[in-house]
Amino acid sequence: MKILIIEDEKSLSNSIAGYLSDSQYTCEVAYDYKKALEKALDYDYDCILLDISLPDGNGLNLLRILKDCEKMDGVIIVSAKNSIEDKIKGLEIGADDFLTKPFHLAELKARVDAVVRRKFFDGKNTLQFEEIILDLPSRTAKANNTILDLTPKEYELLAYFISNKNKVISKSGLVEHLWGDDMDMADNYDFLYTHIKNLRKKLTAADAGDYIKSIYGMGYRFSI
Amino acid sequence: MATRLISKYNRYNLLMNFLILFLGGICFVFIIRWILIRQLNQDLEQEKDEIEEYIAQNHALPNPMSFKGQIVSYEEVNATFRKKIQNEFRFVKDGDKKRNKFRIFRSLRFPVEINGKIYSCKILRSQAETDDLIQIVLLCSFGLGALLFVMIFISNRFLFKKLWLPFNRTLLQLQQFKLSSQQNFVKENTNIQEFDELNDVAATMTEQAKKEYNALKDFTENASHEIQTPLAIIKTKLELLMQSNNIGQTESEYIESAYEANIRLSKLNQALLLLTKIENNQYYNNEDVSLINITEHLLDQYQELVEAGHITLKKDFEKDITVKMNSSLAEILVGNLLRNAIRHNVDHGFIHVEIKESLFRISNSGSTIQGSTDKLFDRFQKESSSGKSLGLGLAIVMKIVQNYGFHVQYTHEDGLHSIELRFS
Repeated sequence: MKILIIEDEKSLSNSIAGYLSDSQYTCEVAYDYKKALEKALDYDYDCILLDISLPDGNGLNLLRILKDCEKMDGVIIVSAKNSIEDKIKGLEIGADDFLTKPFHLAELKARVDAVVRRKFFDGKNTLQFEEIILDLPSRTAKANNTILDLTPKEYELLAYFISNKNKVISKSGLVEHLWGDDMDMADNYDFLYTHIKNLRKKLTAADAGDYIKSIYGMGYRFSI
Repeated sequence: MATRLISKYNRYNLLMNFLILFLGGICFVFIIRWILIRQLNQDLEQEKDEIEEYIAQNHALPNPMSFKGQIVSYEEVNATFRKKIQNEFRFVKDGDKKRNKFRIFRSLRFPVEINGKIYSCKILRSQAETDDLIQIVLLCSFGLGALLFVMIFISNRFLFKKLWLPFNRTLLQLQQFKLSSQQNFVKENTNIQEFDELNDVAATMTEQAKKEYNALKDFTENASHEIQTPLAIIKTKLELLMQSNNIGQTESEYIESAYEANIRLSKLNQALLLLTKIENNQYYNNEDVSLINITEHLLDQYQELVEAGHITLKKDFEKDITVKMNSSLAEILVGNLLRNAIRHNVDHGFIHVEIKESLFRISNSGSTIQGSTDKLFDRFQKESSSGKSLGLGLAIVMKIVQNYGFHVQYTHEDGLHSIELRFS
C-alpha cells in the first residue's frame, strides 16, 4: 500500500511517514506543490494526504487536477484551517476525508485505513486482529466466531485499537475519537476507563486474549 | 456639570452687548450734546453779530426782546469785559403750564459801546430743544438695545440649533460607531469649514481605527492558523516518542504532561480562533435552526456526563424556537451552556432546561459563586485554575449572542444558577 504525504512542513510529514510506515504502508513525501503534482500524476497511490496551504500552490487545485485526470487515489485533506467552507469545497471536489491540524497520529491512521478499505476492499470489508474480526458495514465484532455484544462506543474503540495495533495510543486521542473534538471536555477520561474496562471484560468473556495493555502515564497499546 | 455652549455664548454675548450699548449710549449723549451746544454757540455768535451790526448802523440798542427760547437783555456797566459763553439755570414758565420750571439756557454776554457808554448785552437761548433731542435719542437707543437683546437671545436659540445640526449628526454617528460592526463613518458636506474639518478628521480616524482593528483581527487569525502547524508537529513527535520501547516511568510522565499541555494549548488556540471567526463574521450560512432539536441532540451526547454526576434532568419544552443562525454556532451556543450546567453542578443535583416562546433557559444547582459575577462572560474568567476549563466557554456564548443580537442574562440565588437566552 502506497501513501503520498503532501505537506510542506518537513518535520510533520516525516512524523506522519514514520508513524504510518511501519505497518502495511509505504510512504512517500512531497514538500511542495510542483513535486507533489509530479508524483501524484506519475504514480498511483492508495491514499494521498494533502495539505491545502502549500508554499507554491493550493492543495485544492491539485485535488482538482487529480480528479480531472480521473485518478482513483483516496485523498484525505489535512488543513490548518478549521474552515467549513474549505471542508465542503474539498469534499465536493472529491476528497474522501478532512482532518484539521493538530491531529492525533492514531486518528490519522484510522482515517487512512478507512479510506483505503472503502476504496479497495469492496465486498469483503473486515478488520482483523488475531481471533477478533470486525465486520465494518454491519458494525459488528466477532471473537472466536462468537458475536460480541458491544455498544457503539465499544465498537469504535475496538476498531480504533485494531487500526493502531502495536502502537501506544494516548488517552486524549481516544477521548477525541469517541466524543469528538469538543473544546472544553477534559472530564471524559473516567468514561474512557469505564468503556475500556467493559470492552476488556467482553473480550475475555469471548475467550479472546487480553490485548489492551495500559501503558503507564501515556495511554494504551493494543498488542499481543 | 458643563455649561452648554449656547448658554455660555449667550452670557458673553449679552454682557458684551450690554456694555457696548451702555458705553455707546453715554458716548452718544456726549457727542450729540457737544454738537448741539456748538450749534447753539454758533447761533448765539450770529445773534451777537447781528446786534453789533444793528448798533453800528443805528448807534442805539436794539429793543430787548424775549420770545420763545430766546431772551436778549442789556445792562449798563462801568467797565468793559471779555465776552463769555456759559450755561445758566433759570425758572421759566413752561409752555401753557402755570408752574415754573427749571430750564438750562445757554447765555452769551458781550460788551457793546454806544456813545461812550458801555453796555453788557446778554443773549439767552433755551437748551430745551437740545435736551428733548437727547432724551429722544437716548430713548431710541435704549429701545433699540432692548429689542436687540431679545432678538439676539431668541435668534441664538434657534440659529444655534440649526447651525449645530451637522455637528450633532457627527456626534451621534461617533457615539454609535462600533469597530466590530464594520460600519462606515458617513461624511456629509456641511459647507461649514470647521464641521467639514471635524468630519474629515472623524472619517480618517475611524477609517484608520478600522484598518488597524482589521489588521489586528487578521493577525490574530493568521497567528492562530500558523500556530496549528507547530502544535501538530509537537503532538506527532510526542506520539512517535510514545512508541519507543525503552521509556521509563519518569520519562513517560514527562511525555504525558507535555502531551496534555500541547492538547490544552491547541484547544485554547481553537477557541480563540473561533472567537475571532465569529467576530469576523465568518459564520454567515444562516439557516432555520430548531432549538429543541439541537438541545435534544446535545443532551443525548452528554448523557453519560449527566448520568455520571447523578444529575436529574428536567426538560420543559413548551414551544419550539426556530432561530435563523449558523447551525454550528447554534450547537456551540447551546452546547457550552449545557456543559457549564453539567460541569458546575453538584453531585445529585439537577438541570432544568426550558424552551418557551422566544425564551431558552437553563437552570441548574451548583455551589455559590464567590465574589462578583459581573465578569462571568469575560475571557479567561474561571472559578478555579483547574486544567479542566479553558475559561472561554461563556465568552464564546457572549460573542455569539452579541453577533446575532440576542440577549443573555445570568442570575443566581442560593445555589440556583440560571441562564436565559432571549431571541427577539
